[in-house]
Amino acid sequence: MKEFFAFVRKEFLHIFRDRKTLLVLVGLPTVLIVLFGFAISTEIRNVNIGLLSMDDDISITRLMQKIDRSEYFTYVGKYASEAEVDEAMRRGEIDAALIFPAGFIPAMFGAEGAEMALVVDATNPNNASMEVMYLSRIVYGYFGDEMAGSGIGMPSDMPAGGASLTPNLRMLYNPQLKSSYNFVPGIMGLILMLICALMTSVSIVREKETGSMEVLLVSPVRPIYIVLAKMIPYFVISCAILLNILLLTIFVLKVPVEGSFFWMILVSLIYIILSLGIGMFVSSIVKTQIIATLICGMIFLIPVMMFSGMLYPIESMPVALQWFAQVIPAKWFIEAMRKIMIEGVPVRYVTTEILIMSGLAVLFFTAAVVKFKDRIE
Amino acid sequence: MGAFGYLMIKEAKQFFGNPFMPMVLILLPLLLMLVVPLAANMEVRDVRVTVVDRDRSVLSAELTDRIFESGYFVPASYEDTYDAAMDELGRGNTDIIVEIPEGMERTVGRGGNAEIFIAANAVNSTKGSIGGGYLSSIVTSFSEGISGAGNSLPLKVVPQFKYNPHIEYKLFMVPALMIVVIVLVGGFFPTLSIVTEKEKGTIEQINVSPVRKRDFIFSKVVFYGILGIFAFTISFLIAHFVYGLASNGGLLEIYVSAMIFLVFMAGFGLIISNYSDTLLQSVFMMFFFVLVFMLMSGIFTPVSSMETWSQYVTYCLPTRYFVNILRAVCLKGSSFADLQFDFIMLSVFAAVINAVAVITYRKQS
Amino acid sequence: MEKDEFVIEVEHLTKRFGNFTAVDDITFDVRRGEIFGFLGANGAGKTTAMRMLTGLSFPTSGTGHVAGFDIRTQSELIKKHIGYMSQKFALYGDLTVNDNMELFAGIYGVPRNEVKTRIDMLLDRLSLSAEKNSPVKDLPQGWKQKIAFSVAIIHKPEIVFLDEPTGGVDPAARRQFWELIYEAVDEGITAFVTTHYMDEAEYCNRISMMVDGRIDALDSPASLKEKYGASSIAEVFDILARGAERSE
Repeated sequence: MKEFFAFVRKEFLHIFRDRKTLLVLVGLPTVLIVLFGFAISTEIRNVNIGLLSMDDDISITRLMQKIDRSEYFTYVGKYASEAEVDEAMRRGEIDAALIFPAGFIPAMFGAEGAEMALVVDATNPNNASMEVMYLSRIVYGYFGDEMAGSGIGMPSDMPAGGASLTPNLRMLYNPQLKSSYNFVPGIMGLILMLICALMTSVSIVREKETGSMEVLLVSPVRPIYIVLAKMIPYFVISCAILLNILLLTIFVLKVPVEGSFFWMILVSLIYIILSLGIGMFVSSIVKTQIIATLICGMIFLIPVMMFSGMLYPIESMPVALQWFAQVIPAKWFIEAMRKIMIEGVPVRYVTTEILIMSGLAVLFFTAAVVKFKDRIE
Repeated sequence: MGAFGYLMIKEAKQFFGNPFMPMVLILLPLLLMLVVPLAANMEVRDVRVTVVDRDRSVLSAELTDRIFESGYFVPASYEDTYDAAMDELGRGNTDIIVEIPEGMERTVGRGGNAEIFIAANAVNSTKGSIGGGYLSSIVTSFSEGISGAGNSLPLKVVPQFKYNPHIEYKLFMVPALMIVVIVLVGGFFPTLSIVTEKEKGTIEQINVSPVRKRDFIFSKVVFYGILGIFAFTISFLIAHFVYGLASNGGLLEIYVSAMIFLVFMAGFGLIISNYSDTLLQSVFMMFFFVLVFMLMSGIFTPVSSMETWSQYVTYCLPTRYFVNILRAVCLKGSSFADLQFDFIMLSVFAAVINAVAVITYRKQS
Repeated sequence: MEKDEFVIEVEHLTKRFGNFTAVDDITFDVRRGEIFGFLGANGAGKTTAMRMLTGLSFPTSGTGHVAGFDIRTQSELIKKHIGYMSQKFALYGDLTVNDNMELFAGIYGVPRNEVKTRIDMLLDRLSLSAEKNSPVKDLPQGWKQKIAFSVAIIHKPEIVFLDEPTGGVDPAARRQFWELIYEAVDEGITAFVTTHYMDEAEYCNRISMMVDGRIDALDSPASLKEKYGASSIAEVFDILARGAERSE
């Protein structure tokens, strides 16, 4: 046991001597969580609107004023032709344009009704859909009021006399529709995985490359203790990082913790151990730091970003990729955190996630230790 | 052939000497361009709906049919109580709950007003708002149908989705992924190679030789630049032939911007390598900035959706300009004239970062 | 060029890192064609002094000329006329012996048509022709050092700087290595060698002894032994080192 603690001490010294790396380890998660917590968002904002209208009708001008007043849209200006609208869109000046044909207003009051076009830049399809939804709601509402005022037709969002159904829409867990509620658990999963797995694997492989691992292996300490001694400091650092991230999430990003604090921490600890195990495993199968980096980076980081449900919902993926997502450890963590933190559901809803993460952790550790032994014999 | 040529040969021999690296070079663009677009999808489609029909009437069955006929929603389950439905929601088996109140048909028959309760899981706000919004518009139009009012307004708004008429999310992602290819190949590869030379001490051997600073940097920049362009070309070919992007030309714009951005990434990688002594440090710094470059500049999520202060931050990220250029050229067919500002900013970044890289690379301490 | 007798001339050379004076006002000359031993304990300042001479490090004060060029202003020209082999073995491990030699021949501007014959000649001299296409990392340490030396003289430099060239190899390999140095000197190359093996000092024409950043003695091994009444260079060094403040 004494030798064991001597090893642990040595590992701590290694980490604390390398100030630059330590700074990066603490600074990186802080900056990332703050930047991304605020920045990663899919709400629509600051949508620039253009207008193309053949007539100068006062009600169209008022409509544009109304659009400009809404929180999502900014009215940029009027264009003279479709070609101009097109050019403005190519330059990125406007994201959407309302196009009114000549004689639009009289036609609307006439028998046949009127039609107008809503052109949106659908480079980003989701934003385009939301823009169409919000803009048409404004347009219908506005002209509905106009016509109600003039006594013709009915506003569409009012119960049309007599029998009707009214939808009562409620947004559960996230009434303000903040993107951060969705992305923060993902960012936590990404950062913890990046730091834990990469840090462990690269630093162990580094010892292999410089040959100091050999020295450890010929010492009387059993290999399993060497593995553990390496893990403990990284585990401690990871816990500090976790605490840091949680505090930032709650107090800076103001994401509420709806569920149990205890279970949230426990789930995170299991995930940290799992990530360390992955790092350990990678270090036991590769020989150079570059390859360890590439494996952790390209094989773990990209999948975590793309396939874990961090940014993109898993259920929108093709079935084969949905299966693939199941083997990504971060997926289970992100799901569990979303449920506990944001939805605040009781822990029985996340037993699957917890069991799978624990299982994976045991698996990776066993594999790492077995591989580690192979190497010595 | 001068020293530069020999250094290039050396880089090539080192790179191709280990089969792992060339494999990464080829597989990376292939996987990124062919597999990731399938997953990187924020399209709201097949939203799962749980129906709690407490009315069990002809009208409630019609409403349910109307919801699933839209093709937008898929039935997740039918529950008897709201609590049972909430249980499904908590387990993540459904996205939206629709509750039809008891006696709806009777109320409507009497000419009264019944409320349909819709609860959307809005943890994913896009899905919650689009799905919930669409569902309530179905209920509204269903209501208009039964009240006989028809379309009460003689007005029709016809949406036109420009540049992406089938509103496919893939087309939004593919240009962004071409950037990821360059960031990884043009940024990571040279940085790792320089820091390895530092750690192994081979850089010392070069430093005492008459090789000029310039040549050593250039040999890395040029070599990995060529690899970057190679990987980029693979991804461009996929973008063009598989996804049908940039069908209206724009080849010149795409390659000029890719070159400028490669030069930026190479210079950036050099700065990181100048400031790090170990591979671990450089890798962490690289990952840090690469994450910022990728997640903050509109590659994955739109810049216009960000908090206002962080939108200003994006002006300091060259990826913002590059992604603008690629998306505009690939989807909208924009040209140099349309994108002057982005091209100028991208070039400024490349020039400044490389000047800094050359200054910080010191042979003499 | 032939007429100047000294290939290295150093006056009052000093290097400070903050408060620490690594090299403290050293003055010496190295004659053309000699083997000059640069001795001292670890941390005495040998490597720092050598880094200034090879243009890797800028002196705090003092002047120096190497191969007739000023170390302050003409370091790029110096680099063309010297060879360097460091204590940290610095060839590309993932390249073959031949690749490494071609690379450095190219960097130092050896004419293309001479490169192949030069490499074959050097490998032949080392009796390592069979290993021409082996990756350097697979070779034993003693062979790697011999190859590193050949790489350092592949462009026939005026002076070759050897920084602890024989670290970590057995005495037999060290003797063989010194034979290589003699062969190079016979071709007219001047050798500037740092070492902390005192027995190797006996192979040098002249040696300097560094203690705490200063040169405390400089002469031929025989004269030094006579002057300090010692039977070996190691004894001379012990006498000098007794006054040292920093040593490991």
